[in-house]
Amino acid sequence: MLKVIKKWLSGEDENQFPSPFTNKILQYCNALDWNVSIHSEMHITVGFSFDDDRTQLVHISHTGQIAEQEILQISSAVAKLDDIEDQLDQDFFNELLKLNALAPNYSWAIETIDEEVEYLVASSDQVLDTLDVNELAAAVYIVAGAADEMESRFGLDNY
Amino acid sequence: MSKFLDTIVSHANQLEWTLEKLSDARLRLSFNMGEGRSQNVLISHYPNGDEDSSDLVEIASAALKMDGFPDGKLGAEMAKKLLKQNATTAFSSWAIEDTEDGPYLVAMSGWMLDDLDAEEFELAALIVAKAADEMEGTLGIDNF
Repeated sequence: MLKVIKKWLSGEDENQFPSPFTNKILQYCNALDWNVSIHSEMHITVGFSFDDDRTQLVHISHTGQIAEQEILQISSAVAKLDDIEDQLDQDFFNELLKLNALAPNYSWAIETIDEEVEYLVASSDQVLDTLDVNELAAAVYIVAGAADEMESRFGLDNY
Repeated sequence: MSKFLDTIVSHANQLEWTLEKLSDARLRLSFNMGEGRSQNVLISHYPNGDEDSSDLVEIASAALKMDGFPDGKLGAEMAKKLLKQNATTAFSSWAIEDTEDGPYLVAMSGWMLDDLDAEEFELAALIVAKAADEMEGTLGIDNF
């Protein structure tokens, strides 16, 4: 109670966008001691630092509903396609599709933001209701690691 | 029975689905997609080899055998289009799976065995079946 009052007095509110999605993910992130930012009722980011001073940002988004199940997308960006344009060719796109067959718990995708900007991302989908803290941790670590490794291949560390 | 078989059989029974056992590591579902179309979904087990970590389950449905493509590759435009679809289709991603028969374009969904519940299994199987069947439909085929 004291902690709640102190937060109220300070004007702080750990979750300024309460929703079943943000409440659950924030609870898990706190249990994992993760550095989390809540951007809206539908969007959370978690930042990681790796041992080699590289960093990676993971997006956890409530993307909608399928068959009455609330769906999450957990993704981490590698690069804007514009920034790696000279390396985007038939071989690379096919390589990503082949990698998808080898890494079944995440996949490579090209995500379009604001109807314009295309990003290469590592992505994993989860069901909100059945998601436990271990599943969240596993999915986040997997996409973060995969995206960071792909970024380093391009000599980048922007995300 | 292995944990893989126990889990998938249990989920299939709950859903009243009929599984065909192809091997200890592979099961098959067949769906009637309507309009005379059918779609097979393969459920494959990939042991982790680490007792502390969950094994992997791949739920996949084939859309196209790629042996007719030069070097077994999709054109750049098509490959990019499929990668873009991967960002907008939950629980199903396009992948090129290399097999003894050559490469196949598949709709695929991957899960940790320990975490795969019946609702997720149902979603994944139906979504990959639909994605693969729709792709076959656009190509005017129904081979899988």
